[in-house]
Amino acid sequence: MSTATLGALELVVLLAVARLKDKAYGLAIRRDLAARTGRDYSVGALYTTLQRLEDKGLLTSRHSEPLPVRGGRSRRHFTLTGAGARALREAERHAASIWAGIGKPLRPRLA
Amino acid sequence: MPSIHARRPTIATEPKANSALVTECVLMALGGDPAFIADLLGDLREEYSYRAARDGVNTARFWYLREMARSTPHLVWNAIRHGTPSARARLAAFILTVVVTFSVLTLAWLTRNGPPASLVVGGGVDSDGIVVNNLGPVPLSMSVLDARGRRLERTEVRYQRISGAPIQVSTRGVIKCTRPGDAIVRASLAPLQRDFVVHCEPVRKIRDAGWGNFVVGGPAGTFTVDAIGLDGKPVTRIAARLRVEDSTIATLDSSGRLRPLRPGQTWIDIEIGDRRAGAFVTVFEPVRTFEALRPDQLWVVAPIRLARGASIRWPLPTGAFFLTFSADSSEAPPTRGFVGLGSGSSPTVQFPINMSVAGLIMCTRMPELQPGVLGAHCLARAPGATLILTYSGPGGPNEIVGSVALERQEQH
Repeated sequence: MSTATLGALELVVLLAVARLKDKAYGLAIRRDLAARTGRDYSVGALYTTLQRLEDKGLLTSRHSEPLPVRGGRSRRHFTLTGAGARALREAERHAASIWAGIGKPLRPRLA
Repeated sequence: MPSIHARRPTIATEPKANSALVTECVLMALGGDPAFIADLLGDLREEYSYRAARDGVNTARFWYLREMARSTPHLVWNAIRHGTPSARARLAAFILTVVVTFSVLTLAWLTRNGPPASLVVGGGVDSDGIVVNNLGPVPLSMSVLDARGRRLERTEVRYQRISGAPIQVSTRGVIKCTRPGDAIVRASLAPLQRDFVVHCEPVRKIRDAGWGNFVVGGPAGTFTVDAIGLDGKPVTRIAARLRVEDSTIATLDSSGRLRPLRPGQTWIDIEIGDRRAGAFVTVFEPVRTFEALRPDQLWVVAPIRLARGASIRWPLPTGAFFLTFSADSSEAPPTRGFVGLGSGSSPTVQFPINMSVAGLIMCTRMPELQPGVLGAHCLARAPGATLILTYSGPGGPNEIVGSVALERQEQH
């Protein structure tokens, strides 16, 4: 999978799924994105991206058991696939090559 | 004060479930991916419950509506990508319905009329009131405007004479002027009220407005109309309506100035109160002589300047036409234009001018024209006809300045 096909939102969503591991469902991903990027992505935009990543084979999903409340719904959890993990590594390498040669005063410290 | 957890399931979650179910059904009917819709709406519901408990129901509802609006493009895109052809057709029809409905509602909102805000005096107005020249009953012209200046179709305006001449005013605003005089009338449309002056100047007749001649490119002239009142004297305050029958030939501005535009003849309708009259206007094309006129040059005028004892000979076209010589006043500075024959501008000096014709032409002199104006109706049967104008003195100025107009009758 080439990073050329990975958009900015797709990348941050993939990273959120990787970070949240088995707690990666829609609302959790959205809150994680809001906390880390400061942007309030709409639920529609998030699910469209998740669906696109799933179509690309970078994510897979499963439904959880219904929540233990009256009328509790089943959440859809997302997991990174092998292709997704490779895409993330490639994106990281790609970013590193882009930043290569930039001096420290300009280069932000990466966490 | 109830705890957050006690409010949560009863106030926030339950009422929302029904509307969410309806939304889900609509979205699925429009062809969206069921899993996509269920996940999206499920997350929205969950977040709504959380926010309702934390921030209150109203804030949560506002958030929910905002999120639905923000997610709409994505839902539509999902329906386009995953829907069947029939579902896409339903979606297209739905979008079209929404757009049309929104447009119609927006248009209706923008063009809606507000409550009455002002009463405005309508036609027949001078600087301080309404002029009524009618002898018969006439409705007062009053417009009701809203705050944005839009005219409202209202008939509930009530009228009442407050003071002044004893004119008859009905509550509906029909006025009857039986004699000259001014009165103050009040128009009311709760809570609006407007007092205005009605100038009763009934017109018994319009004196013959006659006719006028103008030249293309020449100066505009003021069109004057004499209106006669009940006492037989001219009415000074009139609200006249003038309308030019063919405004490509001449135009009239609001101050009654007539501007000639192209050669031709037209009629001016004059309406003052309930009296009507008309005036004939001819606009001539200026030419140097009558030689080599084109067939479409039907109204032409040429300036002439004749010294004592001199004469001119001009070729005339074939066919039927009116010929008119008009001299400028000797007191007035020489003009190269054609002197109007209408009221107030004709010459009064008698000149010993002789107008004759030669060749295969027959003319009938028109004696009723004014002094200083010679007119004839001619029929030239073959080319070669000539107009001869001679200034033979004695007496009068050394030179005569004037113009000769030729008005051809169209060949049918």
